[in-house]
This record gives sequence, structure tokens and C-alpha cells, in this order.
Amino acid sequence: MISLPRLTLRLRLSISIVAIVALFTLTNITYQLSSENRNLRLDNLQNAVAGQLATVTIRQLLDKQQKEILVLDALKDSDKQKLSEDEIENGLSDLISLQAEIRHLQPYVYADNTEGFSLLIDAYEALHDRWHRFYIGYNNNQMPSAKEIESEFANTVQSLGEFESLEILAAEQQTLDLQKTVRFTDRITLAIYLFTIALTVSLGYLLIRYTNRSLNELNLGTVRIGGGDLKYHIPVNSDDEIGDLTIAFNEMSDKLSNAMAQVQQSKEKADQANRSKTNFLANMSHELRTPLNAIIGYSEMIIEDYREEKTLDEDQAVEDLTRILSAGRHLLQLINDVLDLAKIESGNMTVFNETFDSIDILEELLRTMSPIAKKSGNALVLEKSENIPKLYNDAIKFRQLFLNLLSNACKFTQDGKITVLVSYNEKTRHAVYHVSDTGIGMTPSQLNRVFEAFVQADSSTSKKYGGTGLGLSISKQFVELMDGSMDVTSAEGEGTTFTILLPTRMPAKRQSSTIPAENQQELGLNISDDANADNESTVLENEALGRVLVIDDDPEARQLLLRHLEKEGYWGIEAEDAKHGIELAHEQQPDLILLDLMMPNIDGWTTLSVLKESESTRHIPVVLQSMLDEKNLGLDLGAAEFLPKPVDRQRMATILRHLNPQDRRGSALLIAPESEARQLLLEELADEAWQCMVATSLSQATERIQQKTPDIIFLGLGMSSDNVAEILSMLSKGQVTEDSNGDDTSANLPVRAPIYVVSETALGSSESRRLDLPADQIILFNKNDKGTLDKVLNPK
Amino acid sequence: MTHILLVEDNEMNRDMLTRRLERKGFTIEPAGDGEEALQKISAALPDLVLMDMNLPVRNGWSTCRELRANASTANLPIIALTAHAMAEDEQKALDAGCNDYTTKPIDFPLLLAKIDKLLSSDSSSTPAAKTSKPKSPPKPPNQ
Repeated sequence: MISLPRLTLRLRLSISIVAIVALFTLTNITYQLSSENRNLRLDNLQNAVAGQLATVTIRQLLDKQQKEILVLDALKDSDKQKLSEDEIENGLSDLISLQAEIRHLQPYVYADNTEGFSLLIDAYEALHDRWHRFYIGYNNNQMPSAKEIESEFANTVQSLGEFESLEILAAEQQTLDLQKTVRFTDRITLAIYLFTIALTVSLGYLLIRYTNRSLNELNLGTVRIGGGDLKYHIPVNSDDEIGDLTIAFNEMSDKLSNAMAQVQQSKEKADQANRSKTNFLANMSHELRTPLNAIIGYSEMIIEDYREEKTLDEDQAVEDLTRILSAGRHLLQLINDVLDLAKIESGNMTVFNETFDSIDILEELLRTMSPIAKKSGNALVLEKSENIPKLYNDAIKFRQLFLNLLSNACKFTQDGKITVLVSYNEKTRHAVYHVSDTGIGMTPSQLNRVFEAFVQADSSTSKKYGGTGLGLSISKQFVELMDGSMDVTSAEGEGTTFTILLPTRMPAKRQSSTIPAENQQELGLNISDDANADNESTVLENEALGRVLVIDDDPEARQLLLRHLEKEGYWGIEAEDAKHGIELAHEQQPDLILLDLMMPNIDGWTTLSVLKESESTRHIPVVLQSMLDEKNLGLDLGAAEFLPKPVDRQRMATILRHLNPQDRRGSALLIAPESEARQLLLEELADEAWQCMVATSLSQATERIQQKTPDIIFLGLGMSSDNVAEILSMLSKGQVTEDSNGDDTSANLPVRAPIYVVSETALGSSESRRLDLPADQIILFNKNDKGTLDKVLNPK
Repeated sequence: MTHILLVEDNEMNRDMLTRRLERKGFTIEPAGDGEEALQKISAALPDLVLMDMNLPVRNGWSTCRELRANASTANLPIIALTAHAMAEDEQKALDAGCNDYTTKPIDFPLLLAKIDKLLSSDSSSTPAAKTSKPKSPPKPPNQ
């Protein structure tokens, strides 16, 4: 199939110029042709004139000769005179020159007239013969008769006359033909000339009009877009430079429009947040004033009583003071709740993760709540399925959350039943908690707003049942902080059920928000007993994020590390010396080894080399620990990381996350030549906990793919676009665009992993067209602009 | 004896205000919500209404408008009591037909002054209302 080249402006101009030059050449050629014809005609005329002159001369010569003959003949008759030798000689030479004269006519003879010419020659030859014989035989009286000569002469003259008239005719005919040709070529020249002018003018006009129209449209479009109509798309009606410009403009306006939409959105969000803040403030003022009213009112009353009567009705006073106290407590609760909410909203509410048994906490809560439940005649029941795994989450928030839900349930239920049902969803690895009551329930409209701050189903309920109207709002936020979800179903008069889903394991990213215990005190958080149970092994081996072997001769350092590991959700294995450590590494095949360098007998360096030499332990990443910074040497000798002593738990957690394969996001293959940008991208990927493989060529890449199938592939960054296109086509289609080197490396191709082309600079439209990739698979990445990389790595 | 209808849903605040006002010699009829207030007013017209605005069943604003729409209660003095303390809240209460407005926590002497003022102007504008005195001198408090 022939693909037509793009009709670009340059092409249009070139075609026009070529056409005009061609026509110009044609005009020249026809002109040359016509001028040649003109010359021919002129030659022809000259020829005709010369011929005519020659015939006239011949006629004169003939006449003269005849007269001479006649005179000689008459003289012969009268005085019998004889001719001298010279006279005969002269006469004969005259005859010969006449003959030559007639022969000289030859070049002027027209093709049509050769017959006439030969007739003339024949006639003259006959005459010539008579004249010749006349001279020869004059003195002997043996000359032909005058009559005979006369008749030949007449014959010759007639022939000459005929020849002449035929000659004129032929000349005229030829002139006429030439004239026709000249006229014809003239006409053609004129026509081509006119056509050239017309073509030049119309091409120029079309080109100007076309460019003008495209530019006008572009101009109008840019004015319109500039005027704020970012949704406007300039119609692309040409596949040329202006078309490209238009596409670029449209892309720009799209981007602008997106950016504007984002700005608008964030503005709306900010406005909304502002409104809800104002609302919240107004509500808070209202909620604070109500208990304050009671506090101030009762206090004033008691003071009045005392001042005016100097005595007190003690029972009444105690009752009033109790009310003041209750209002004060309510106020405190309100302030605490508001502070909690503010903390969550500002992002300062930290999650302190630890491993805990949620059933234990729930059982304890039920015991705490039972007196309150009994007061309103409610039964409190905990039902649980088998094998509820421990949670790795914030136990304090968990407790607060369920305390809140249970006290709510008690508040709104009279003589009913409150059930906590716990189950485990193995598929999603979520613990599922249902808190149901048989209380007053909610209407659908109440249900819709149940998680909003300061909204109680009905203001009457708050008066009747108390509460700040913030509890559920806080609970919901807590659940979200805990990476879970919370939902509610209810029917008026029948009861309410809250359903909470909590992951049995927190995602890796969240763990970094863990704060050390000492900071928690400062934050005023209550630490439950469970949270401090450091020495108790709380991580189950099969639930752990990974199994880490700690090799350290110092028992205190070992214990500290093991505690840190547990808190981070890892299963720790300990070895008190190198020998035992190496044995355990072989037997247990841990996911990671923490190795102390300073050990008696066999030191860390030796241990490291033993571990790295053995086939069965070589793959286990080793993190070296030392007081001295020996990172570079360690890394050279095969260690995966270096962790300085004393151990910083945060740092340890980060290193574990990066190295522990169980915790990885997946493996990424990066195909790019060595460069600063590539290093930057590698660091970025490592930060996001991707396991990275690097290749610089297609063959290396296929090798890597055979070793381990990547989950995502990045390609480009400093590679030529030809290379990128070739590798891309190989990876995505399993075939090379050009010469394949025949290696059987394509066994694993095409790959199923998504391929992203990474470029340090924005690709031109032709380049990106060539790659034949959707635009969202082309990522701009450099040290100033991480582009859409984040979106690709974290699609949520 | 000046009859005051106190519409307040918060038990504590109702109890406190009732007792304090009774000590000042007013007769207090309590109501817990807007509907109850309307019923009590139609049963026996009070001299003045103290009305919380955030009320269950029927809120204070709606109750006020209802009272103003009715000819017999169109001029009934109403003081709004509310924990909403913004300027627009005051306007909202006045728009609903309240004669005056006071925020919680209540400044008791100020409330008394407002009651006083309203009752005296009320008796002058609607002289045929009742034989109520503008303000009775403080009586010894009830037990």
C-alpha cells in the first residue's frame, strides 16, 4: 500500500515551484521551436528569391544566345561568312556556362518540382545539342536548320516558364505550411504562457487563502482560548505544520483546562472546608453555650441563695452542684472531642501500630460497659468465629472506637440486646466487626447524616440521650486512619448495626507513621497495658511481614532489635554468635539477616563472606550493623545495607521495607543507559518499595525478563527514539522491527507487564505517534518534574 | 401575677430558669417543645414567652411565626433565648417575630431588664390585655 506523504506547507510550496518552473521550461521550448520555424520560412523565402533571380538570368542568357544564333544564321544565309576558331570557341563556352547556370538551379529546386527541373534540363540539353552542332557545323554548312533550333528553343523557354511557375507555386505552398506551423507554435507558446500565469496566480492565491484560513482559524481559536473558553477545540483540518500547531494548541488548552479545573476544584474544596469550618465554629459555640448556661445559672442561683438567706437548702444545693458538675463534664467531653477532630483534620493524629488481639480488647470493653448496659436493661453479647487473627493496628484507637459504639448502642437501646459479632474475611484479610442494637434506630434521612459532626439524629435525642454529636464523626475518622472502613444500617424502631472492616495487616506505607512510645506521652495519648507489653511475643510467625535473623553477641542489643522487629510486624530469629547464625540462616532461610560486625571468635566480616559464598544463603540480603561507618566496604563485600549502631527504629523499618521481598510492591525493570536521571528513577522506585532490575539493551532486558518476570517496565531516559521504538515493539509484540539477530531470546516475549516510556523532555507529537503508545504510558521524568510517575506507581 | 411561658427543651436549663424566675415573683409555665408551647398558649394566654430556638418537634422560629400569624397572639411579647450567638442569629430570631433576643449563657439581670421593658411597653400598647402589673416587687422566694 502506498502511503501518501503528508501534504505539508513545505511540500505544497515545493510542488508549486516545480510546476511553475516546468511550465516555464515548456514555454521556452515551444518558443525555440517557433523561432526555428520562422528561420526556416525566411530561408525558404531567400531560396525562392534566389531561384527566381537565377531563372531570370537563365532566360536572359537563353534569349541572348538564341539572338546570337539567329544573327549568325542570317549572316550565313546572306554572305556565306565563316566563323573563326575563336568565335566557335567563345560560342561553345557560352553554351557550357549556360548549361552550368541551369545546373546551378538545382539547390533552389523544391521537392515537388524535380520533375519540372528534369524536363527543363532535358529540353535545354536538346537545345544545347542543336546549338552545339550549329557552332561545330557552321563552317561546313552542316548545322541544324534554324527552324529546328527555333522549335527546341521554344520548347526550352516553355519548360523554363513551367519550371518557374511550378517553383513559385511550391515556394508559396511551403511558405504557407511554415506559416501555419509558426502560427500554431505561437499559439501554443501563448497558451502555455497564459496557463503558467494562471497557474502561478491560482496556486499563489490558493496557498495564501489556505494558509490564511488555517492561520485565521488558529488565531480565532487562540483568541477564544485566551479569552477563557478552555473547552474550545480548534478544528484540525489539515495534516501539516499548521495542523501540528493546532494539535499542540489543543493539547495546551486541554492541559490548561485540566489545570483550571483542578484549581477550581481545590478552590471549591477550600470554600467548602471554610464553610464547614464556620459552620463547625457556630455549632461549637452553640454546644459550648448550652452547658455553660446551666453552669453559670446554677452557680449564680446558689450564690444568690446563700447571700440572700445566709443558709442553704443542702439537698437542693447538692442537686444543683451535681448538675453543674455534669454540665462541666459534658463540656470537657465536648472539648476533648473537638480537639480530637481538629487533630484528625490537621493530619496530626498519629497511628501507633502494634500487634494486638482485638477479641481481648472487646471482652474487656464488654466488662466495662456491663453496668451501664444493665442500668437500661440491655444484654451485652460478644459472638466470634474461630481464628480471628491478631491485628497490627492502633489498639488505643480500636478501644476508643468500640467504646464509643457500645456506649451509643447502650444509650439508644432500652431493655434490648447489644451484640458484637466478629468474623474474618480470609479473601480480603479483613477482620469484620458488627455492633448491633435493638434500639430506637434511625430514619433514612437521619442515617444519611449520622457521621457528620454535631449532627445527632434529632436535636431532641441529644437532650434526651446526651452526647456531643461528635462521637460517630470521630469514630469514622478513626476507622479511616486505621485503614479500615465503617458503614451503618438502621431501621427506625428496630435498631442499628455498625459494620467495621479492619485489615489484619497494615499496608507498608502506613507503618512509617508510627511514633515512638516516648512521644506518645507528650501527645497525651493513653497507652493501654497491651501497648506496653513489649516483651510479650505478639507477632505470629505466619502473620509476620517477614522473618529476620538477628546475629549479635550482645544480648541487650539483640533483645532491643527483636523488640523493634516485633513492633514493626516482623518475626525475629536470634543467634548469639556467628556459628549459630550461619546454621540458622541455612536451616530457617530467613527473609533478611541483621548482622553485627563486632563479634568474638568469628567476626561479622567473615560471617558475611561465608553467607555470601554459600549457594543456599547467598540470596538473603544482609544488613550490617556497626558503630563505625563501614557502609562502603560492607556494600562492596556483598551486604545489602548498612545500619549504624545504636539502631534507629525508624531507619531500620525503612531498610527492612526496602529489602524484605515479602513486603515489595513488585519488581520493576528499567531499560535505560546509565545516567543521572536513571539513578533518580531507581531511587524513586526503591522509595516506593519496588524491586528494581536494570538493563541497558534489548538482549540484557530479555535476559532479565527470563530471570524474573517484571510487574512493570520503564523504558527510555536517554535512549534514542529509534532504540526505544525497537525495544518497545520487541517487548510488546514479540517481534523486532528491523533485522533480528536471530537469537532465541524472544521466548518470554511479548511481556504482559505494562510498559511505560520515560523521557526527560516532553516528546514531540511525531515521536509519540511513532511509539504507538497511549499518552498515559509516556511519562515525563527529570529531577525537577516527577511528572505522572507517582500516578503510575500509585494508581489509587 | 405575671405569667411567663418558658419554652426550653434542656431539662437543666428549664429547671434553673424556672426556679430563678419564680424567685423574682413570676409564675412560670414550662413547655418542652414548640408544639407544647402553642397548645399551652391557646389554653391560657401568658403575659410573655421566653423561647429557646433549637427545639424538638417544632423549632422556635416556626413557633414564633405561627404565633405572629394568629391575631390573638400577634402582639404577644416573645424573648428568644438561644445558644446561637452570631449576629445573623439575632436577626433570624427578630425576623421570625421575636421582640427581643438574649444569648446563653444567660445574663440574668439583663434578661430581667428585657422582660421588664417588654411588659411595660406591652401594657401601654395593649392596655386591655390584662390587669398585669409591669413588675411586681421581688417576693420572698418559694421554698
